[in-house]
Amino acid sequence: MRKERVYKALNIALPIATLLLIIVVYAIVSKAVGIDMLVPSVSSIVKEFFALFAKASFYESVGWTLLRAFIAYVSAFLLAALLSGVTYSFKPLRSALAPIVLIVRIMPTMSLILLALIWFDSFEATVLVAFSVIFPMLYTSFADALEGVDKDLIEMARVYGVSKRKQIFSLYLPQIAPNVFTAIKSSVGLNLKLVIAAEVLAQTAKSIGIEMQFAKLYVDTAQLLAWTAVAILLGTVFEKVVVLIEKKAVKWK
Amino acid sequence: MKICDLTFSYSDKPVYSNFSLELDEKKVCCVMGNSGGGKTTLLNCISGQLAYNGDIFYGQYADKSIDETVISYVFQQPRLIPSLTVENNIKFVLEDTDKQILNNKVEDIANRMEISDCLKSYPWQISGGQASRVAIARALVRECDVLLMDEPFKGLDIKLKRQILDTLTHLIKDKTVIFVTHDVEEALVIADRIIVLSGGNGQTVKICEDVKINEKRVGRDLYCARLNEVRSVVTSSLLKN
Repeated sequence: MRKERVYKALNIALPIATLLLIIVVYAIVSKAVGIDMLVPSVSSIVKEFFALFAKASFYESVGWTLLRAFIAYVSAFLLAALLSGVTYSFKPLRSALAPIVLIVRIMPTMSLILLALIWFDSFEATVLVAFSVIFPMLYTSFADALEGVDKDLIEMARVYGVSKRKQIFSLYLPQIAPNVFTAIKSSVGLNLKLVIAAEVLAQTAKSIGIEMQFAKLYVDTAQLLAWTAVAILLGTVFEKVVVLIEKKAVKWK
Repeated sequence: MKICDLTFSYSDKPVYSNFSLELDEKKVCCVMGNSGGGKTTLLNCISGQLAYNGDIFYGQYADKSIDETVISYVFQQPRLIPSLTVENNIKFVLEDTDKQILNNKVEDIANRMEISDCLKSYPWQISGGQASRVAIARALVRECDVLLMDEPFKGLDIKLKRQILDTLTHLIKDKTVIFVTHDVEEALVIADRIIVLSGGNGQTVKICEDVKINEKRVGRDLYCARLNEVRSVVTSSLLKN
């Protein structure tokens, strides 16, 4: 019991300590370099970070970036769920889809971004880039999770003549849920990163990416780091929300 | 039930070739045999899990295909869904009807199987013996024509096994039951007939009729004598192969 309490306390204290260590090391480096424009002090980053919230354009940029990330992720998720379900029921389709998934998965993200920029406008391009990376990740995870559903339980349900609907909701979904949540946790932050990267290259108006690009152009490193902190914060919030939903949804584990 | 010319093989290993057997309706038939002799395969063919050649009929005049019958199956492993509570595992095989009716059915079978105290638990929170009883409860809660049981008492202690066997004999009165076991005593308590399958090709080597005997009714001595008699018949049949 005491051991458990110690572990719980360490689980909270250690990440905070690591974070503080990073800040301390950064502060030392900043002090050693001594050029605020290049490696700004912690205090100027914090000042810049809070200053962002006072600007109306901040909310607009964050809102549009989040919208692009949302569209890319939800469409990748829905298509992955749909296709994994279809290929599970009709196995030859999985083989037919395999080369497409493989090409999209290993295609360099940079060429994907550049091609998307040639063919589409900046909004569509950013969504497409994130979608193209996230979709094969989710599809592979969902398809593998479905393949991993206990065959004995499926046979049991079939022998007992359990309806398809009941099988889906009481057998398949709970069985694949842990793997689905693992896939979501590892891709939700990446999705935001991809959207921002594509926004930088596409110079998308009203976006976190363009704000970072401006900061870079004006060599405003403090602002660039403040925007980076915003992106990290958003990614962390997404991951925490997913963990919370997972705890509710997979409470039987 | 009538099994006609059943032929089945696992890749190139034949298990049944033109195997035929007739089973009385609403009677309990125990299937015994050596390991790998095709006992579970027979149940899996009847339940439609394996694709076989031949025909399996059901009904008073053996005029219905087995696919048209309602089958319940107690598998060798309990096969409980880990994400569902014991209660919902039992409800899983029932059609969605009135909630109160469902609850009453589950409550009744849980009382009979003595698993009422673990209805709200998840499968990983209960013992192996309880899981076996949940699997039996799940099979019995549903109205079925044919009940298949594959070593359902594996891992249960003798006292519990006796208790469940007593309950089971009442609950399966109107069902055609095929019960796979290695235990002659289990067969003696529950079965009307024992068939012994030879290993390898799944041919019936011995059929013992009217084996059922009630220890309380006939007394310990007579029961033991009958047990030894049946055991010797079964053992000699198995050792021949």
